Order: sequence, then C-alpha cells, then structure tokens
Amino acid sequence: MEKIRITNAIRKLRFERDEMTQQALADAVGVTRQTIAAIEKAKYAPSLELAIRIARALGKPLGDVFMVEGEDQSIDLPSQPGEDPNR
Amino acid sequence: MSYQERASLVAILTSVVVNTFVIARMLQLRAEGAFAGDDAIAVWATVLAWAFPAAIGATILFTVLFRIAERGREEPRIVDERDRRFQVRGLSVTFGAIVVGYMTMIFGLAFGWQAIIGLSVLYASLAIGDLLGNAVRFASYRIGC
Repeated sequence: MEKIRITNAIRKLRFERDEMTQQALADAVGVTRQTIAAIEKAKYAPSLELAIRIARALGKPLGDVFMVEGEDQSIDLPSQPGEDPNR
Repeated sequence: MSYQERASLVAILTSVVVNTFVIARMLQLRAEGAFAGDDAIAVWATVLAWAFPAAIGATILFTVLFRIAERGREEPRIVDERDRRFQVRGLSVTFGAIVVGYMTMIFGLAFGWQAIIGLSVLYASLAIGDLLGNAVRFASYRIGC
C-alpha cells in the first residue's frame, strides 16, 4: 500500500486567527506545545480525534487544516457534528 | 531540550549507575570465587536483592537532583498522545530485549550453561532493555516523531 504523507496549514491558520500561539492552540486542544510544533512540521501525525480538535480550535473544517501532500484534494470530513459532509 | 528529554536522560543515568554498580559487584565476587560454591545462586540473588533498594534510592536521588536543576521551569502538566506513543515505543524495545534475553537463557540452559550464567543473561537483558527503552524514548523526543 502506498504511504501517503499528510501535511497541514496549522501555522498559517494560527496566524490568521489573531496570531494564535502554539501554546494557546496546545492548551485549547489539551496537548503540549511540543506536540503542536511536531504536527506543524509534519514530523508527527496526530490521531483523528486530535486532528478534529485542532480543526475545531482553529474554526476550520478538517480538510482545510490537513491535506495529502502532492494532491490538491483535501481530507473532507465535517468539522462539527451534524455538518453536511457534501457541502 | 524539553522536560521529557531531560527526564529520559535522568532515567538513562540512573540505569547506568545502578547497573554499573551491580556488574562491578558481580565481577568482584566472581574474582573472589563466591560463585564457585553450591550457594552461587543465593550469592547472586543477594547482590540483586540489594540492587533493588539501591535502584530505588538512586532513582529518588537523581529525581531530586533533577527537580532542583529544573526549579523555575514549568513541568508539563499533561501527558498527551505523543508522550504515550513514545512511551509505548520505548516499552516495546524494552520488552523485545527481555524476550531475546529470555530465549537466550532458555536455549543456553538447554545446551548446558550453568544456571548462574543463564540468570545473568536474563538480568543483562533486563538492564539493556531498560537502557535501550529509555534511549529510544529520548531519541523519539529529540527527533520529534
């Protein structure tokens, strides 16, 4: 099976959200600042649960935060319960 | 260097100090011929029985020294999924080393090793496994993944 590499736009989205610090994001999702730093650098792939929590903390759908490297296609999952996944 | 990296280093240091003490004591007793008699296993076990409280004491000592050195720096209040992943990775390496040591001991005994040699191999695998597990945890934090 071909391995896919997940990239993310956390750093960009943090700055768009009033220059939110890594520590503030870490506190919002319940992890350490080092974990957020490792995720931003794509060194660490978070669990789906943590990925959803990060997307919610940034106020974006999951697909806007995490994407497959080399593909325009984002990961389409609703960021909130009940949200239409086909929108 | 993060708090977790420094904590891993303290665990490695403790492991090295305690095992160096145990190995040095074993070699000393061997040179004195203490393992030549019928009570060789009892002598061997006595050294390790003393090593347990020594290990606990060393862990407390190094932890206190670590806390003093860390004074003023905030300890992470949460253990997150990345910490747990690195802990599991380290434990897997430790467990692997113990399994190798156990199998070596079993086959060694089957091929005629003395019991004390087999037990020493098992102890060595525990010590090496602990050291490797902590080293892997430290390396995981260093690399970040």
